[in-house]
Amino acid sequence: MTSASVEGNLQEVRRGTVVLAALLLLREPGYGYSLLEALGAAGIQVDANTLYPLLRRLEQQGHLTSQWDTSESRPRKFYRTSDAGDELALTLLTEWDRLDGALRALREPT
Amino acid sequence: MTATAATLTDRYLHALGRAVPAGQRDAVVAEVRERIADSIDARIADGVAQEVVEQVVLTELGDPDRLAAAYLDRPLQLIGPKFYLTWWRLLKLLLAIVLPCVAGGIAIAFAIRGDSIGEIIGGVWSITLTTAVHLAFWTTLVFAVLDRASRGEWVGGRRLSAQETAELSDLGDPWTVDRLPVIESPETRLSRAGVIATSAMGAVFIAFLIAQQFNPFLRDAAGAPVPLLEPGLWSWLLPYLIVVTAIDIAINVGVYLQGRYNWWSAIAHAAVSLAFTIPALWVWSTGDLVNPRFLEIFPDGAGADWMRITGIVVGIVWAGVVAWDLVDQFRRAERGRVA
Repeated sequence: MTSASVEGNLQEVRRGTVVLAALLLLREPGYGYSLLEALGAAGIQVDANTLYPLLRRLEQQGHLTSQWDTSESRPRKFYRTSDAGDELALTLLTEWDRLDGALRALREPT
Repeated sequence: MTATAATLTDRYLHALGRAVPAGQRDAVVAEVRERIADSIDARIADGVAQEVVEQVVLTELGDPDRLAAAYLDRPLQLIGPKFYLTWWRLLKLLLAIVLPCVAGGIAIAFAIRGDSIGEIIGGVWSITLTTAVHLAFWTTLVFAVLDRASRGEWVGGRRLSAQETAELSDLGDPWTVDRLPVIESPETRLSRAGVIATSAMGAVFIAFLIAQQFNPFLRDAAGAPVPLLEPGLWSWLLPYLIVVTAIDIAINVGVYLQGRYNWWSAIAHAAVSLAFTIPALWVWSTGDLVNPRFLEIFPDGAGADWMRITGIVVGIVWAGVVAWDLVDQFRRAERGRVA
């Protein structure tokens, strides 16, 4: 198996986790780069080219709310998980736990 | 921040803004401006030199048009997976129906108009090519517009992502098993009736060539028979056609005895078919095939005019039939090989 195919499969698994992790982290307001670092520190690997457009999409879908903070020297867009976003996070978490249980069961030697 | 670096960022944001619709431009540009500034700070903290840091960050961001597409969830393809199959099937169907009709129609029209062979071939080629380009272009344009118009649909109070849109069912009715193609029973074996029919037709043709020379139905004033075909052709073409027809019969019988079509039979059939058609069509097109004395029987030169129009239509249809027969032979050989 080539390393490229391994990488591709890993990305498939990780893809959905970024949304969930972002929704959970943004229960406390945060801006793009702070979230990128927080995700990295939390062990969720994500590319900036994925995260920034993702934040925009989640906002358009109503799962995040945003506000420009102009009190600093540089204006930054702060995102926060909305009620709908909380609900989505809960749904995703439930599904994640269910999948985790299912994969654990599969992993057990029969 | 140096003046040069600031210029690079401004130029990048300017290029980005041009790729974003006016309604969203300010929002997207502001977001990317924040992202660039934060990325530069992070890169400097990583130890990247001040002079090159902006260039490094912008290079990482990549093509502004591509970045805009990512932010706007806009497709970077002409026709997405939702419409691709419908587009491809429709295009193939259109080309298969329209192009042969156009080519045949143009050939007949130009030939009746009295154009030379070269003019006809050139006209058919250029008009058929133009038609193909137009068909492909307009069909593709319609689907590209459709693809963009149907994206970002609002379903359940929110906008669908590109991926979700792609997963929607194809144009029209959803696919069902009824759409599965029927497996054609491969006619890889030549039936006995088929061989007899083909051989009989060959024999009838040879008989016709000989019989028309002693045409019992048409007599001139002196009571001598008027052959339908130019008698001078007995010096080469007519005996040649008889031999080729006999070879064709032999090949058919050979294929039947062998049991199935294969590449050799297809190639042999193609060679014989072309060996027959090319000289015959050539003489037919020059008008030397038919006996001039035969045409004199018709009053007021109507025979010549009649021969001209009929000759054109028959010649082109003849060429079309031979071309289709060749394709069919190779298709059968292909199926016979697979079977």
